[in-house]
Amino acid sequence: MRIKKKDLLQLELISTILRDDIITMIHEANSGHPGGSLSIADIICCLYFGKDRYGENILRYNPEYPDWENRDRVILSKGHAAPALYSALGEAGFFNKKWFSELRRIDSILQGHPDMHKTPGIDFSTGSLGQGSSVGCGIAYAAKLQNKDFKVYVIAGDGELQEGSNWEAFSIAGHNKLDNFCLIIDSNKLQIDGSVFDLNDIEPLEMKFKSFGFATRRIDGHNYREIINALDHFKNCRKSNRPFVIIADTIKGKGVASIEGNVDYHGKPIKGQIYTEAKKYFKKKSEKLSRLLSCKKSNSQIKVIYETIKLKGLELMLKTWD
Amino acid sequence: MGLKKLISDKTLREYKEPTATRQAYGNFLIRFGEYEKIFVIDADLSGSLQTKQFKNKHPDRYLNLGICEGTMAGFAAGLASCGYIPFINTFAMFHSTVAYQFIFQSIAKTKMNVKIIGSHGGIHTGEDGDSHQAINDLAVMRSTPNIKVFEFSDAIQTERGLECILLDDGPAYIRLHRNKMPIIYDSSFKFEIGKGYELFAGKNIAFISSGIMTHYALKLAKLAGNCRVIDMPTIDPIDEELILKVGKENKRIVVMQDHFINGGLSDAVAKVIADKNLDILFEEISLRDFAESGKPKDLFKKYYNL
Repeated sequence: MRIKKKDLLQLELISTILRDDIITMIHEANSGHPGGSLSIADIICCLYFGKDRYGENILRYNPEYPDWENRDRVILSKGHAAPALYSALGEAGFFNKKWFSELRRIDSILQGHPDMHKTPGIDFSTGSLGQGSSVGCGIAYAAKLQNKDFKVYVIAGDGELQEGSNWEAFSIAGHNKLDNFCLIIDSNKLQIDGSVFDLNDIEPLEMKFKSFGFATRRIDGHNYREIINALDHFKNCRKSNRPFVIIADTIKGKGVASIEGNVDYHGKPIKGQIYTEAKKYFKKKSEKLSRLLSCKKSNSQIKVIYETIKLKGLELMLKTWD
Repeated sequence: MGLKKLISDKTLREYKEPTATRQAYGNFLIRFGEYEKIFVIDADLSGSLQTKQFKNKHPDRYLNLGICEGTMAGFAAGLASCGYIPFINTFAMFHSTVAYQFIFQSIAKTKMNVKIIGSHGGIHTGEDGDSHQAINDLAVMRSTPNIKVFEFSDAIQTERGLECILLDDGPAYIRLHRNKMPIIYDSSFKFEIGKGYELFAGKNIAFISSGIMTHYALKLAKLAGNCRVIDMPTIDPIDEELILKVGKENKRIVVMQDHFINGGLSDAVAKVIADKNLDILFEEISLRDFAESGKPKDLFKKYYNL
């Protein structure tokens, strides 16, 4: 699939905005998981704001109708990366961005881990690792039973795959030929107590997934071309009736150079000088990208423009905002 | 067809002979199987949970996932989020242990409309032994917010109870049993969630029980004379009003449960007594430890002195 340079730049701009949102909300809360949120930011960006070969949004959703029955489902099985998901949902317009500063605070709609009853746009509650895939299988199965054509995306961590319940779900997905089920593994190589390789190595992943009946693709989880191609392939040109897994090699803390690959930042907020410098970097980068994209700028805010998308008779309008 | 109308249209079969509550559950599924929201899932115990006939009649709304009780619960939660009413089936023991992480996170916390059917509750399960006898399942489910907890004492109560549970929105845990039990209720019996039923009136001891123990309570009451027997099929939310009434009218309560001493029906009753400052003698017949393999009759003699 050919991707225009302009679209790549736009994805880079949006993911810069998402990263800025992520570290800001965690800083405000003085609590949260920056490492694993930053590693998945590019994939989340492509899911929510990327376009497929037909110019359609990768993910089928409408912020005005978060309960739309035929929407694609996203289950963040690695629920601690909630800030990444919240940043996308906030920027897409599911809720007012003022809630970013209320992350993890009492009475907030943004809980520490995704809560489907509190946050518009969250399709299922997660937090305890190893459960998202089984829920995703149930939803994928329901879609087939109801003759609906929406897709189910489950995002899991590599450390999370140590949890055996995942593999029960994978076996069921393969056995029941859930080809509307797309698993994305954020393989950032680190968990809390060290590297996944040292504690309990889960590789070789492609072989394992193939043996469970999945079609597999391994990508660089920070390369927009590779991400979009993989997602577009799942959405538009699957020939087999197997579930699909995208194994994305990523860097924990990607985007904030001084914490990249640092195991300490699994659950530690970015503060002090590292925070200030990261904020400066994101600002500079987004200003540069806006210039390249000839976006209008006002008061150093970024304006991102989306087109109207027609989707099987339902008009999906994504907003323009300051 | 509307569910309420379907329920009123479907007549209950005649029950005369002793029937296991799990058998009654199987019959219930056949009776209401045509309701298109019902989805039945097994984890390789379809024989024990009597779901075979539902599977044959409605294969598109049935799935046997194999031995993965937790994943079954998660899968059911996913189905429920798409409008189905899943019934997940395995031994009571496995719901409250291996599957509990999923039940807690994906069903209770999210309030998904999943009906958790746990058969072979209590040591009355018998010969399989203490690895298969659920002795704290009611405590586990009772201690979880948003899950209503039930244990039925005969086939008619099981079917009528399940009708109400089907109409009710939200997670429910239902403990069923391996062995046949005599019929106590008749077809005119009306079940209400959160209500206990007086089977015997009397001013002396008030026995409060559920499941198999209700049958033993009835036997004891007949022997002792002038006793009260309260069958309490809804463990949570418990019938506080009825316990209050008993507290005022009787001098002694004996709670009988085929369950470990902590966290089950006896604790639920004791809490009401404490909360309402009832002036009454409280005793219980409960399990104090893991049991073992044996015939149900022998186990009840050894562990409950019954």
